[in-house]
Formats: sequence, structure tokens, C-alpha cells
Amino acid sequence: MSPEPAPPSRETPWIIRTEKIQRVFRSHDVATIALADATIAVESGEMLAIMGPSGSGKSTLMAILGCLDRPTAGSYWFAGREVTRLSDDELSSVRNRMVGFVFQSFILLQRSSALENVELPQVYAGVPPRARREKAKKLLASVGLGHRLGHRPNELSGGELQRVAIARALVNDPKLLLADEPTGNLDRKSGSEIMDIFRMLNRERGMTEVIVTHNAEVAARCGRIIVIQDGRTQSGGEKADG
Amino acid sequence: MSVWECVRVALKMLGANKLRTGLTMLGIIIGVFAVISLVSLGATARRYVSDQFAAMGSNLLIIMPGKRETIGTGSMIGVTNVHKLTLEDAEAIRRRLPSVSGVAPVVYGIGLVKQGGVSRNTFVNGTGHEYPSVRDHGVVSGRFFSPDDIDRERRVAALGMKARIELFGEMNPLGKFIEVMGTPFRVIGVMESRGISLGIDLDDVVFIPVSAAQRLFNADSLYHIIVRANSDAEVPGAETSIRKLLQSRRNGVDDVTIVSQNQMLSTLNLIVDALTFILAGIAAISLIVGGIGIMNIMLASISERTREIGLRKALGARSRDILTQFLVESVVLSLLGGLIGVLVTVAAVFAARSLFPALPIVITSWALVLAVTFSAAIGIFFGVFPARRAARFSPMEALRTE
Repeated sequence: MSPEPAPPSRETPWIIRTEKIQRVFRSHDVATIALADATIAVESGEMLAIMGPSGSGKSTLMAILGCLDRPTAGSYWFAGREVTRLSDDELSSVRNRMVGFVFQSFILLQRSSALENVELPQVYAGVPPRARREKAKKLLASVGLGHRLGHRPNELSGGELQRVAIARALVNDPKLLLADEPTGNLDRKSGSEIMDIFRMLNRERGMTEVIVTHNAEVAARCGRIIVIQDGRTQSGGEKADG
Repeated sequence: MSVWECVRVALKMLGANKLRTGLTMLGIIIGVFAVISLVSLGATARRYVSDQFAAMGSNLLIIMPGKRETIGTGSMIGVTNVHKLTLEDAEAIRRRLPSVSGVAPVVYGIGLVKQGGVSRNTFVNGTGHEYPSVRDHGVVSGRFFSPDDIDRERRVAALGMKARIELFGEMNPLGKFIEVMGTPFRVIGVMESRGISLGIDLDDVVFIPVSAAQRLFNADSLYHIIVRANSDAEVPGAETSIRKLLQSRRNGVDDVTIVSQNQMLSTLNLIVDALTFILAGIAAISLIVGGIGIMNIMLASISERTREIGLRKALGARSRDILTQFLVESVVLSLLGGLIGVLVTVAAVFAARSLFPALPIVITSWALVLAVTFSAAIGIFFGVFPARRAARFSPMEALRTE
């Protein structure tokens, strides 16, 4: 186990640092421990895979890393802020401006066009309509969907849907891209193309990426792998050589 | 997220489920239609009643024997144990009070009227020579009674238009004799037609001198006295001076009831208004039921869209953004229903106007405003609960919902 880490200052390269995070779900009198002890640190510009069997707690960890949920114990510093102490509205703001989510099942608004879906995070950031349209168009073009702006999700293929989702995740210039099984619903070829995009974003734009997966091929394309089992981070929780 | 943005999303969602939206709005449409049409019906009745009252003559006071607590048209039958109203009372009012322009003493009853082979039960109105000017009811042919006819108790009669037609058909009745309750009367005039008011045919009447009527109906007093004041402004003064005069003629006892036309009108208006509010209140219940329909559909919509709510929260929506979004959706739904309800009502009123041109059908504009405001309020009231529920969803759990 690593020694007690000091609270990170703003100068540390770490974008994510968790310390003995626990998450216990209580329903009625039954307490389920989803996360027992998760301690990880991610440097800015890293591409990290979190691996583990189903039920290992990796989805719970991802929810906490994405500020969708709070740990019941432990600390989580995200971009220099102790987010466990933030209010719900502050967490919304962190998700809106600093985190981009990519989900396994894409989760796009079915009645909205690709363009409108990509605009959505900007709506909550208060970006004026014209500016957000321009930005969304640019991002869709950059993931190769410049010709599909007005298409609705039911008119797009799985690979295209995930590319729309990636454009949506990037639209507010987040500090972290958080992907939950991004290739899980895709065929091999589309999955590989999606991973190419993640690689490109990490290499060329220095995007910090955390990808939760149980696909070894996907994990192999990441710079570092953290394994989680029974709610505990097993290995590589912190980068081997600072 | 701005409200305008919310309205756009709301319209999109409502448009995506047209049948459901339509059925939910129907509840509000029916409620708004019921409220406005019943309130307007009340206003129509009010206008109708005051039109009928205006036709009665104007600036009228009705003097009845006995003191009554309740104000209204009241019972017109003489009350025992009080000073009766006499022809001398009527004469004193006519002669001594300058604020009074005319006095009509009244004794009436239903009597059998015969002419030739025709006989008919008709309203027999015994009154004085000033009746035509007091009630704005003139003759079309012949003449009305003279003061002399009254004083000498002459057996002369003036016929209402309906009585004239029923008894004489095409014949000229002037100078002919009719038998009123077995007593012959000579017809000296025919009154102009006044039509049907509040369900009574005002033309089915025979006028005879009040003195003759007292004998026919075996009455030693008057049932009431109708007095016309010079002007609307002089009505209260006339009432006071009549009361004083009659009091002095009764050894200081004040035991008459004087009701002005305006008082009767306001009493009737009070009744019409009360009915209107009761009916509108019942109609408002249907609006509330419509609101429950909205709440129901919003709850269903929220559970169907749990994932969307989770997504929006993950992408940065605060609880209050979600609250606003769903609140706006329910208000748009109810407001749209309210506006359609108003349009339907206006269309129905125009249809009713062309079907019943005789009725003074009006739309009460405040009812329109109230109904639309009320439907928006219902949208807020019944939308808050579902919207708050949506706003409280945990983003993580909402995202996991399939």
C-alpha cells in the first residue's frame, strides 16, 4: 500500500486523486458495499483503463469519478477541488464543464437531431444558440459526421451514435473524458474506430481519459490499467513512476 | 436552461404524443368551456332580467301594506292586522307629493271574461287613470280611463292585445260590451302589446277602473300602489316623503313596505349572481379534474423519461433545470388546453347567437381571462408534484434505468 498522500496542491499534475473511497448502498436494513477501498490517481493527459468483472464496483467508481454520485467515505479531489464536499448544484456544474461522458448504450435524445444532441451540454452551460450550433457542427465534423447533422438517432448506425456521443462529451471542453464500456454495444470494426478516436484525442489534444471496460483489447490500447475487484483497486492504482 | 428553451422542448414532447396530449388537454378544454359558458349564461340572464325590468317603466316605487323585513317582489296579497292601503292614500300621494309624477293604485285578480260565445279566464287589472304614464303602457286605439271613470266607478274596460284578439278576433272591440265576472263592461280602449316577460303574457289582461275592481273582487282596500318618481335621482326622496305621508295618515304608525324598482332588480341580480357562482364553482371542479389528468400524465411521462432526466443531469442540468422543464411542460399543456377551451367557447357563443337571436347572449371577458389564468395555475399546481419528483432523481440511478 502506498504511504499517506498529502492533500494535493494545485500544482500537482494529478487531475483525479481518490483516497480510500467507500460507497455503501442502503436499502431498508440491508447495506451493500459496492466500493470498499478505491484509491487511484490519474495524471492530466493520461489514458487509463479501469478493468474488472461485473459486480466488481467499477460502475460505482465511474459514477463517483464523474461526480454523478458521492462516496459514503473517503476523499476525492478532482482538478484540485475536494468534490465530495460540493453541493448538488456545484456537482452539476463540474459535470457540465469539466467531465465528458460516453456511455455504453450511447443515451441520445431520440427525438432530437445529432446536432441538437451535441448542443445539449451547452444549453446547460448557458451558451447562446448560434455559438453552440457552430461548436456542435465543428465537433460533429471532427468525428466524421459533418454530413449527418440533421439525422435522428434512429437513422444512425451504432458507430455513428457513439461518435455523436463523443462529440457531445467534448462540446464544453472538459478536462476529463469518462467512458463506460464505449465499445460494448458495437461490432469489432466500429469499436476499433471509436478507440482510434479516443487515442487520437489523447495523443493529439492531450485529453485525460478514463475508460471502464472488461474488454482486454480495449484496455490494451490504454496507457495504464487499473484492476478493481470486490470493490477494491488491485493494481496500478497510482502511476508506477510518478 | 431558459424558459423559452423549456417551452421548445415541451412543445416537442407534447407533439410527439399527440393522442395523449389531446386527451389530457380535453379535460382542461371541457373545464374551461364549462366555466366560461356558465358564467356567460349568468351574465346573459342578468342582462335579460334588467331588460325586462326596464320595460316595466322606470323610476318606479311599489307600496305594499304591512312592514316586511325582506326586500323583494314579495307577496302581493294584503296582510291582515295592518293598516290597509286605500284609494285615499293613493290620492293623497298623487296630490301632495311633488316628487311623484304618477300614481297607479292596483287591485287585481283572475276572472272569467265573456264576449259573445267566447269566454276566457283572464288577468283582470283594476287601476287608476295614470297607469299608462306610470308603466309606460299606452293605448293603440280608443282611450284609457279618465279620473271621472274612476270616481264614478264606470263599467269601462281597456283590453290587452292578447285579450282583444282572443275575445274579438278581427272585430273592432271599441264600444262593444264584455262581461267580466258576470258584470257588463264597455270596451273603451286597446292597449299596446308588451309581449311575454319572464314567462308571463303581459297582453292577456283586461284593465278596469280600480273602484270597479274593488267591487268585483269584494276588496275594500288596494293590493299595492305603484308610484313613479319624476326622475331616478328623486326616487329616494319620493320614498321618504311617501313614508312620512302615509305615517301621518296612520296616526304615526309606519307599516308600509316600499320597494323601488332598483331594489327589486338588485335582489334579482343577487339571485342570478349567486346561481352563476354556484354553477361556475361546479364547473371549476371539472377544471380541477382536468388538472389531476395533467398530473397523472406528467407522472407517467416522467417515469418513461427517467433515463432522459438522468442524461440531462449527467450533462450538467441542475435539479432546478429539470424542475423548470417539467413545470413548463405541464403549464404549456394546461394553458394550451385553456386557450383551445376559450376558442371553443367563443365559437359556441357565436353559434348560439345565430340560433337564438332574441337572447342577449354575452361573453364575460373577465371569465375568459379568469379561465385562462386558472388553467395556467392548474398547470403549475398539478405540475409541481411530478416536476419535483423528476428533479430529485439521482442521476446515477436514473441513467441505469432501462
